[in-house]
Amino acid sequence: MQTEGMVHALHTIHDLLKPGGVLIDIHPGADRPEIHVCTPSGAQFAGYLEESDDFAEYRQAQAALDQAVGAGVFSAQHRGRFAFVMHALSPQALRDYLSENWHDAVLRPDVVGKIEALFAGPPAGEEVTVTEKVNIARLRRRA
Amino acid sequence: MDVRLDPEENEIHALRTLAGPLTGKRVLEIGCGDGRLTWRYASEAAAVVGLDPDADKLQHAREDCPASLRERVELHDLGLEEFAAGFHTDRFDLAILAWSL
Repeated sequence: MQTEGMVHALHTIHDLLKPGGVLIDIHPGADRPEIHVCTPSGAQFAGYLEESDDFAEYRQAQAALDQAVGAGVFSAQHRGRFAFVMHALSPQALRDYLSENWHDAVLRPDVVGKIEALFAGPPAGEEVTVTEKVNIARLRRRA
Repeated sequence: MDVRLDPEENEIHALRTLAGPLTGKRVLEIGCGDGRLTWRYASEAAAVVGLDPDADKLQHAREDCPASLRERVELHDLGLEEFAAGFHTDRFDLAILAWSL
């Protein structure tokens, strides 16, 4: 969805809310998610997850929210951030999940190589994590 | 399960912090998907309407919906605009737009 479509959706949500109703928007920031491999000796950074469109839709989402607030559709009350962590038990589980659920995700070969190297050897409870920094905002419907 | 999403529950904690108490509120969740987030807060709300145009994900949600929530949660395989085309204005206290804008 382009920014214009997102702004239209925000207008539609405005109309569905009661006067004074609240919208909570949750969308990832445009920072590349960090990938770590957690081993018994600690978490080791393996690289970043990329997207084929360089996270453009997240920037568009933020622009749409800013536009809706600027147009007086909503008033921004609070903004925050949290870490959303995906835990996969193996490199293959991560690839399968991304293939099914995150179609524009890109794992660079050097990152895959680093993840697999950290999983080499007898299993010892390793897992690979992908950490997204996610924006959350509370917006109140304006009249 | 080979992949777990947010077992730390950071998302629901952030949602509760910003949304405040849900008691007595009618909630619209746009893009509810398989209900992963919905099940975490629905028991606190008066009623929840979940929308998702992805029929497969919504079917998972219907199958996974805890029995205790079935009377409280309505799921529709509709997009936002289709849903809004009915007589649904001014109905909700809270809208949640999670990973859907």
